[in-house]
Amino acid sequence: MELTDAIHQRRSVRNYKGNILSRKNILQILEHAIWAPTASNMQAWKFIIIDEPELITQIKTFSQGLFGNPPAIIITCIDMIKARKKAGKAADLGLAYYDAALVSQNISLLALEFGLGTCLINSYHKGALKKLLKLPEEITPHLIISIGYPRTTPIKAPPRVPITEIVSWNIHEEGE
Amino acid sequence: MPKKITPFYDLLCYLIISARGCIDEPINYGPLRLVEAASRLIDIKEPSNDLYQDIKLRLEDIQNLILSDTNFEKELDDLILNLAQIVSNVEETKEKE
Repeated sequence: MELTDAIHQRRSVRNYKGNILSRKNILQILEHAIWAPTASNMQAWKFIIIDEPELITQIKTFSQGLFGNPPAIIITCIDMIKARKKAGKAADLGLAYYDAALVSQNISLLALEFGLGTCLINSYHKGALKKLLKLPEEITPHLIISIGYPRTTPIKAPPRVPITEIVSWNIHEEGE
Repeated sequence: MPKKITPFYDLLCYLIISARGCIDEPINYGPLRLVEAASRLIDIKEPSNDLYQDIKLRLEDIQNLILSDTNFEKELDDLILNLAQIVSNVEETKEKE
């Protein structure tokens, strides 16, 4: 798939078929996704992949932003001890967030290669999730990614603002 | 407490967690969560009732409007007026009886 096609075809999927996902495919997605950049090369991600239906139900109960019944979810976490070792205070001030977001976007795009849809979710209760997944203190969940074969075609993407309104060359100018 | 997550427990948690989440979340997430909760309530209490299932379809349409960043106030207002009409029809029927 061409990269620009993947970028335009990516939609937030909230309705999935029940087909079980191949663990091999999920791992392949992650193997490519982790080529995302990381601040000071910290590579502090930890991915928890859940494909047990009962555990998915439990996580969904405490994740108000998780819709549908995905056959799998990927939790993008950051090991904050590892992150701080490389990036210091900056890890807490934003770098961990950027790293989690960048790799998660890669996951969303790569999933399309396998005919899979995804949805990135930031609305969940962090404390409840840590308890359910038995995450140690230093492993911070950042994004939940639901993943599966889309049951329905997601609604049309909202239009984007004209590029002339948001781009300035060299110095900031009000858009046209 | 339930050993297995029942639909009731799921809705209970959904409402409470949404209350906490909405403090920090975008403004439209409040209506989104409430519409979703209403939809789940229909599935719990009236999964086979055509009237309520029609309401649920309208709730899903409203959710899609919210998620696509489209104005949804009119659709919500229309639904509310229909709900009021249902009650009004019930009252009229009772008066006739």
